[in-house]
Amino acid sequence: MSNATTSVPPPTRTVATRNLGLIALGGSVVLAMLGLFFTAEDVDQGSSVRIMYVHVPTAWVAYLAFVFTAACSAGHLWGKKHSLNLDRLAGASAEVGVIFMGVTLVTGSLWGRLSWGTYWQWDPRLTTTAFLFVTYVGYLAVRGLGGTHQQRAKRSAIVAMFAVLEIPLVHFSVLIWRSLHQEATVLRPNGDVTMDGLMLFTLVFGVAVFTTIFAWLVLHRNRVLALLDAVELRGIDAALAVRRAEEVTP
Amino acid sequence: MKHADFIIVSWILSFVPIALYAWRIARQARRLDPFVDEGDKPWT
Repeated sequence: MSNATTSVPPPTRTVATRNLGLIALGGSVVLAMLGLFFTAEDVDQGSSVRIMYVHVPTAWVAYLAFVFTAACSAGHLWGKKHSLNLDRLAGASAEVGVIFMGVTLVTGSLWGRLSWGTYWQWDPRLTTTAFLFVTYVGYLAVRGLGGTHQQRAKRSAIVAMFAVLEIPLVHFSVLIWRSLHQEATVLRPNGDVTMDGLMLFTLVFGVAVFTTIFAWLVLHRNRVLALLDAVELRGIDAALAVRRAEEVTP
Repeated sequence: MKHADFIIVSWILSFVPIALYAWRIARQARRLDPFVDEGDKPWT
Protein backbone atom coordinates (compact mmCIF):
# COMPACT_ATOMS: atom_id res chain seq x y z
CA MET A 1 0.00 0.00 0.00
CA SER A 2 2.73 2.42 0.95
CA ASN A 3 4.54 1.79 -2.33
CA ALA A 4 1.44 2.66 -4.33
CA THR A 5 1.00 5.97 -2.52
CA THR A 6 4.61 7.06 -2.38
CA SER A 7 5.94 6.07 -5.81
CA VAL A 8 3.26 7.90 -7.82
CA PRO A 9 4.07 11.61 -8.22
CA PRO A 10 1.45 13.97 -6.79
CA PRO A 11 -1.11 15.17 -9.38
CA THR A 12 -0.20 18.77 -8.61
CA ARG A 13 3.29 18.31 -10.07
CA THR A 14 4.35 19.83 -13.39
CA VAL A 15 7.76 20.25 -15.00
CA ALA A 16 7.90 23.84 -13.70
CA THR A 17 7.13 22.91 -10.08
CA ARG A 18 9.56 19.99 -10.21
CA ASN A 19 12.35 22.31 -11.40
CA LEU A 20 11.37 24.91 -8.82
CA GLY A 21 11.51 22.22 -6.11
CA LEU A 22 14.95 21.09 -7.25
CA ILE A 23 16.24 24.68 -7.22
CA ALA A 24 14.80 25.14 -3.71
CA LEU A 25 16.41 21.90 -2.50
CA GLY A 26 19.80 22.69 -4.03
CA GLY A 27 19.64 26.25 -2.73
CA SER A 28 18.86 25.01 0.79
CA VAL A 29 21.95 22.78 0.76
CA VAL A 30 24.17 25.66 -0.43
CA LEU A 31 22.60 27.98 2.15
CA ALA A 32 23.34 25.48 4.94
CA MET A 33 26.96 25.20 3.77
CA LEU A 34 27.40 28.97 3.63
CA GLY A 35 25.52 29.73 6.83
CA LEU A 36 26.97 26.97 9.01
CA PHE A 37 30.53 26.63 7.70
CA PHE A 38 31.79 29.35 5.36
CA THR A 39 30.60 32.63 6.89
CA ALA A 40 32.62 34.27 9.64
CA GLU A 41 31.51 34.56 13.25
CA ASP A 42 30.15 37.90 14.39
CA VAL A 43 32.39 40.19 16.47
CA ASP A 44 29.72 40.65 19.15
CA GLN A 45 27.50 37.57 18.85
CA GLY A 46 30.04 34.91 17.91
CA SER A 47 28.66 31.83 16.15
CA SER A 48 25.07 32.47 17.24
CA VAL A 49 24.82 34.85 14.28
CA ARG A 50 24.43 31.70 12.13
CA ILE A 51 20.78 31.54 13.26
CA MET A 52 20.27 34.85 11.42
CA TYR A 53 20.49 33.09 8.02
CA VAL A 54 17.24 31.24 8.70
CA HIS A 55 15.57 33.61 11.16
CA VAL A 56 15.62 36.80 9.03
CA PRO A 57 14.74 35.22 5.64
CA THR A 58 11.77 33.31 7.08
CA ALA A 59 10.52 36.54 8.68
CA TRP A 60 10.84 38.52 5.45
CA VAL A 61 9.21 35.78 3.36
CA ALA A 62 6.38 35.51 5.92
CA TYR A 63 5.77 39.26 5.43
CA LEU A 64 5.87 38.67 1.66
CA ALA A 65 3.36 35.82 2.03
CA PHE A 66 0.93 37.99 3.98
CA VAL A 67 1.26 40.89 1.52
CA PHE A 68 0.66 38.42 -1.34
CA THR A 69 -2.42 37.14 0.51
CA ALA A 70 -3.72 40.70 0.77
CA ALA A 71 -2.97 41.41 -2.92
CA CYS A 72 -4.81 38.26 -4.05
CA SER A 73 -7.69 39.11 -1.70
CA ALA A 74 -7.91 42.61 -3.18
CA GLY A 75 -7.88 41.04 -6.65
CA HIS A 76 -10.75 38.79 -5.64
CA LEU A 77 -12.81 41.54 -4.01
CA TRP A 78 -12.41 44.19 -6.70
CA GLY A 79 -11.79 42.03 -9.76
CA LYS A 80 -14.62 41.77 -12.28
CA LYS A 81 -14.75 37.97 -12.13
CA HIS A 82 -14.30 37.63 -8.32
CA SER A 83 -11.85 34.84 -9.14
CA LEU A 84 -11.90 31.87 -6.77
CA ASN A 85 -8.40 30.99 -7.91
CA LEU A 86 -7.16 34.26 -6.41
CA ASP A 87 -8.94 33.32 -3.18
CA ARG A 88 -7.22 29.91 -3.16
CA LEU A 89 -3.86 31.57 -3.82
CA ALA A 90 -4.51 33.91 -0.88
CA GLY A 91 -5.30 30.93 1.37
CA ALA A 92 -2.27 28.95 0.21
CA SER A 93 0.02 31.93 0.74
CA ALA A 94 -1.35 32.58 4.23
CA GLU A 95 -0.80 28.92 5.22
CA VAL A 96 2.83 29.03 4.10
CA GLY A 97 3.24 32.43 5.76
CA VAL A 98 2.01 31.04 9.08
CA ILE A 99 4.55 28.20 8.88
CA PHE A 100 7.37 30.65 8.10
CA MET A 101 6.25 33.00 10.86
CA GLY A 102 6.19 30.05 13.28
CA VAL A 103 9.75 29.18 12.23
CA THR A 104 10.73 32.83 12.80
CA LEU A 105 9.30 32.75 16.33
CA VAL A 106 11.01 29.45 17.22
CA THR A 107 14.42 30.36 15.79
CA GLY A 108 14.15 33.84 17.33
CA SER A 109 13.40 32.27 20.68
CA LEU A 110 16.49 30.05 20.46
CA TRP A 111 18.62 33.00 19.32
CA GLY A 112 17.20 35.05 22.20
CA ARG A 113 18.27 32.36 24.67
CA LEU A 114 21.84 32.70 23.41
CA SER A 115 21.88 36.51 23.11
CA TRP A 116 19.63 37.68 25.95
CA GLY A 117 19.65 34.61 28.23
CA THR A 118 15.90 34.05 27.86
CA TYR A 119 13.63 32.29 25.37
CA TRP A 120 10.89 34.90 25.52
CA GLN A 121 10.32 38.50 26.57
CA TRP A 122 7.14 40.54 26.15
CA ASP A 123 9.18 42.91 24.02
CA PRO A 124 7.42 45.08 21.35
CA ARG A 125 8.92 43.20 18.37
CA LEU A 126 8.31 39.73 19.84
CA THR A 127 4.81 40.59 21.02
CA THR A 128 3.71 42.16 17.72
CA THR A 129 5.18 39.22 15.79
CA ALA A 130 3.30 36.74 17.98
CA PHE A 131 0.15 38.82 17.46
CA LEU A 132 0.66 38.73 13.68
CA PHE A 133 1.08 34.94 13.84
CA VAL A 134 -2.13 34.52 15.86
CA THR A 135 -3.99 36.87 13.50
CA TYR A 136 -3.18 34.70 10.49
CA VAL A 137 -4.04 31.52 12.39
CA GLY A 138 -7.39 33.25 12.90
CA TYR A 139 -7.55 34.06 9.19
CA LEU A 140 -7.10 30.36 8.39
CA ALA A 141 -9.84 29.52 10.92
CA VAL A 142 -12.15 31.99 9.14
CA ARG A 143 -11.42 30.22 5.85
CA GLY A 144 -12.56 26.96 7.45
CA LEU A 145 -16.01 28.27 8.35
CA GLY A 146 -19.02 26.97 6.43
CA GLY A 147 -20.78 28.47 3.42
CA THR A 148 -20.30 28.55 -0.33
CA HIS A 149 -16.90 29.08 -1.94
CA GLN A 150 -17.84 32.67 -2.82
CA GLN A 151 -18.90 33.38 0.78
CA ARG A 152 -15.64 31.93 2.06
CA ALA A 153 -13.65 34.00 -0.41
CA LYS A 154 -15.38 37.28 0.39
CA ARG A 155 -15.22 37.07 4.18
CA SER A 156 -11.62 35.84 4.27
CA ALA A 157 -10.56 38.53 1.79
CA ILE A 158 -11.94 41.22 4.10
CA VAL A 159 -10.05 39.73 7.06
CA ALA A 160 -6.85 39.59 4.99
CA MET A 161 -7.15 43.27 4.02
CA PHE A 162 -7.22 44.25 7.71
CA ALA A 163 -4.62 41.71 8.88
CA VAL A 164 -1.92 42.99 6.51
CA LEU A 165 -2.03 46.38 8.26
CA GLU A 166 -0.17 44.77 11.19
CA ILE A 167 3.02 44.26 9.18
CA PRO A 168 4.26 47.90 9.33
CA LEU A 169 3.54 47.82 13.07
CA VAL A 170 5.74 44.72 13.48
CA HIS A 171 8.54 46.07 11.27
CA PHE A 172 8.71 49.51 12.90
CA SER A 173 8.01 48.30 16.46
CA VAL A 174 11.75 48.44 17.25
CA LEU A 175 11.75 52.15 16.32
CA ILE A 176 8.39 53.14 17.80
CA TRP A 177 8.98 51.57 21.23
CA ARG A 178 12.05 50.78 23.34
CA SER A 179 12.89 47.23 22.32
CA LEU A 180 15.28 44.49 23.38
CA HIS A 181 15.30 43.31 19.77
CA GLN A 182 17.96 44.90 17.59
CA GLU A 183 17.02 47.42 14.92
CA ALA A 184 17.11 46.52 11.22
CA THR A 185 20.59 45.65 9.91
CA VAL A 186 19.82 45.70 6.19
CA LEU A 187 16.52 47.54 5.71
CA ARG A 188 17.68 50.67 7.54
CA PRO A 189 15.94 54.00 6.98
CA ASN A 190 19.29 55.62 5.99
CA GLY A 191 20.19 52.72 3.65
CA ASP A 192 23.57 52.17 5.33
CA VAL A 193 24.42 48.44 5.55
CA THR A 194 27.24 47.52 7.95
CA MET A 195 27.74 43.82 7.31
CA ASP A 196 30.58 41.67 6.01
CA GLY A 197 30.28 40.88 2.28
CA LEU A 198 29.85 37.10 2.57
CA MET A 199 27.48 37.47 5.51
CA LEU A 200 25.31 39.88 3.53
CA PHE A 201 25.44 37.63 0.46
CA THR A 202 24.40 34.60 2.55
CA LEU A 203 21.54 36.56 4.08
CA VAL A 204 20.27 37.72 0.67
CA PHE A 205 20.80 34.21 -0.74
CA GLY A 206 18.75 32.87 2.18
CA VAL A 207 15.91 35.23 1.25
CA ALA A 208 16.09 33.98 -2.36
CA VAL A 209 16.05 30.32 -1.24
CA PHE A 210 13.10 30.75 1.14
CA THR A 211 11.23 32.77 -1.52
CA THR A 212 11.71 29.85 -3.93
CA ILE A 213 10.46 27.40 -1.28
CA PHE A 214 7.49 29.72 -0.70
CA ALA A 215 6.61 29.83 -4.42
CA TRP A 216 6.94 26.04 -4.71
CA LEU A 217 4.71 25.37 -1.70
CA VAL A 218 2.09 27.95 -2.72
CA LEU A 219 1.80 26.51 -6.24
CA HIS A 220 1.26 22.99 -4.92
CA ARG A 221 -1.08 24.06 -2.13
CA ASN A 222 -3.13 26.21 -4.52
CA ARG A 223 -3.63 23.19 -6.77
CA VAL A 224 -4.62 20.97 -3.83
CA LEU A 225 -7.17 23.59 -2.75
CA ALA A 226 -8.54 23.57 -6.33
CA LEU A 227 -8.89 19.77 -6.13
CA LEU A 228 -10.64 20.08 -2.74
CA ASP A 229 -13.10 22.63 -4.15
CA ALA A 230 -13.76 20.39 -7.18
CA VAL A 231 -14.42 17.34 -4.98
CA GLU A 232 -16.72 19.39 -2.77
CA LEU A 233 -18.71 20.69 -5.75
CA ARG A 234 -18.94 17.17 -7.16
CA GLY A 235 -20.32 15.97 -3.81
CA ILE A 236 -22.93 18.74 -3.78
CA ASP A 237 -23.92 17.96 -7.39
CA ALA A 238 -24.28 14.27 -6.56
CA ALA A 239 -26.41 15.02 -3.49
CA LEU A 240 -28.65 17.33 -5.56
CA ALA A 241 -29.07 14.64 -8.23
CA VAL A 242 -30.15 12.10 -5.59
CA ARG A 243 -32.61 14.60 -4.13
CA ARG A 244 -34.11 15.39 -7.56
CA ALA A 245 -34.46 11.68 -8.30
CA GLU A 246 -36.32 11.25 -4.99
CA GLU A 247 -38.72 14.08 -5.93
CA VAL A 248 -39.48 12.58 -9.35
CA THR A 249 -40.20 9.04 -8.14
CA PRO A 250 -43.54 8.87 -6.26
CA MET B 1 22.28 22.52 25.53
CA LYS B 2 25.62 23.70 24.27
CA HIS B 3 26.03 26.87 22.20
CA ALA B 4 26.41 24.92 18.94
CA ASP B 5 23.36 22.79 19.74
CA PHE B 6 21.13 25.88 19.66
CA ILE B 7 22.38 26.70 16.18
CA ILE B 8 21.90 23.16 14.85
CA VAL B 9 18.44 22.86 16.44
CA SER B 10 17.46 26.23 14.91
CA TRP B 11 18.39 25.05 11.43
CA ILE B 12 16.65 21.70 11.87
CA LEU B 13 13.50 23.39 13.19
CA SER B 14 13.54 25.72 10.18
CA PHE B 15 13.42 23.00 7.55
CA VAL B 16 11.53 20.14 9.25
CA PRO B 17 8.13 21.95 9.45
CA ILE B 18 8.47 22.96 5.79
CA ALA B 19 9.29 19.38 4.78
CA LEU B 20 6.36 18.01 6.80
CA TYR B 21 4.01 20.55 5.21
CA ALA B 22 5.22 19.62 1.71
CA TRP B 23 4.72 15.92 2.51
CA ARG B 24 1.19 16.64 3.79
CA ILE B 25 0.30 18.54 0.59
CA ALA B 26 1.58 15.69 -1.60
CA ARG B 27 -0.33 13.08 0.42
CA GLN B 28 -3.55 15.11 0.26
CA ALA B 29 -3.15 15.57 -3.51
CA ARG B 30 -2.78 11.80 -4.03
CA ARG B 31 -5.85 11.10 -1.89
CA LEU B 32 -8.01 13.57 -3.84
CA ASP B 33 -6.79 12.56 -7.29
CA PRO B 34 -9.15 9.56 -7.83
CA PHE B 35 -12.19 11.80 -7.18
CA VAL B 36 -11.46 14.50 -9.77
CA ASP B 37 -11.46 14.63 -13.57
CA GLU B 38 -8.58 15.82 -15.71
CA GLY B 39 -10.72 18.88 -16.47
CA ASP B 40 -10.41 19.92 -12.83
CA LYS B 41 -6.63 20.10 -13.28
CA PRO B 42 -5.97 22.98 -15.72
CA TRP B 43 -2.23 22.87 -14.91
CA THR B 44 -1.79 19.44 -16.54
